[in-house]
Amino acid sequence: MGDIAFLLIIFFILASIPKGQVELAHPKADDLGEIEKSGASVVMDEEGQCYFQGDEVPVEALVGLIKGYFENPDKDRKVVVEIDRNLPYEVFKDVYAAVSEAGGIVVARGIVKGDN
Amino acid sequence: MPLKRGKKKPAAEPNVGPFSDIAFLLIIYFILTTTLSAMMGNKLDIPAARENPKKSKKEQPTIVLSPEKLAWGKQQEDVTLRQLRVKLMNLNLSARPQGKRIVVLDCAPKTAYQKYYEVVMAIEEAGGVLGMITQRGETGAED
Repeated sequence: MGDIAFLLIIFFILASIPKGQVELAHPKADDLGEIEKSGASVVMDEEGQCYFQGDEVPVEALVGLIKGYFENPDKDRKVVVEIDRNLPYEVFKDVYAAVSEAGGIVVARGIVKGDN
Repeated sequence: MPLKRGKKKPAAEPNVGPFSDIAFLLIIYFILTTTLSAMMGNKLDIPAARENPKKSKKEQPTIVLSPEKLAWGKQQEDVTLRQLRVKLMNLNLSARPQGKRIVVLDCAPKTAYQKYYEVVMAIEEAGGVLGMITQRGETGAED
């Protein structure tokens, strides 16, 4: 019984602390739909640091990296974009432009108003 | 007389009963604190950016967004987000051909992503295609 209990504890500890997740405040909006966790993700945290697939990258390199990712024809063209809600337009506009220029489909992640 | 053999004293063993109590308390705690929420968002339609300064923008509805205000149209009429949604819905963008659905969003550099996101979601909800201004005076949108 004790062994099973500790195994369950370890499971829930790991489930509640996802690895490699960048902390940021997602924007809120009404009428959002559920989105699939696609293969590609671009994240920009509260300091304007950009991450592609979990790796820290300069924004200037984003177009090339996304194009390289899409070279595999099996890859989904959707790119989940997560940007901190307090970042100014002059900082995050290049992310949208880069995904669009690389031929990706922007899937902008947010949270529904009223949720935490 | 038989010899009395001394009983072996049992080795001291720790009381493990409370361990399982603690384990179950921790299980309950992590069950309650773990949230397995789904990812929420929306797909955006953004054409590849191209410079097209000579293209007439008379037919394209324009939204001007800055930290202080949200304005609609060339007259820059001040609107709320709800009013903007109504105006976008009235355009009936989803019934138009693909090239006629562009809504130009002119955003000031200091505008926070939260405001930008709400406007972009409103455009998407109305069936529009986002036209970003990448440099002042030029739209990053194609027809």
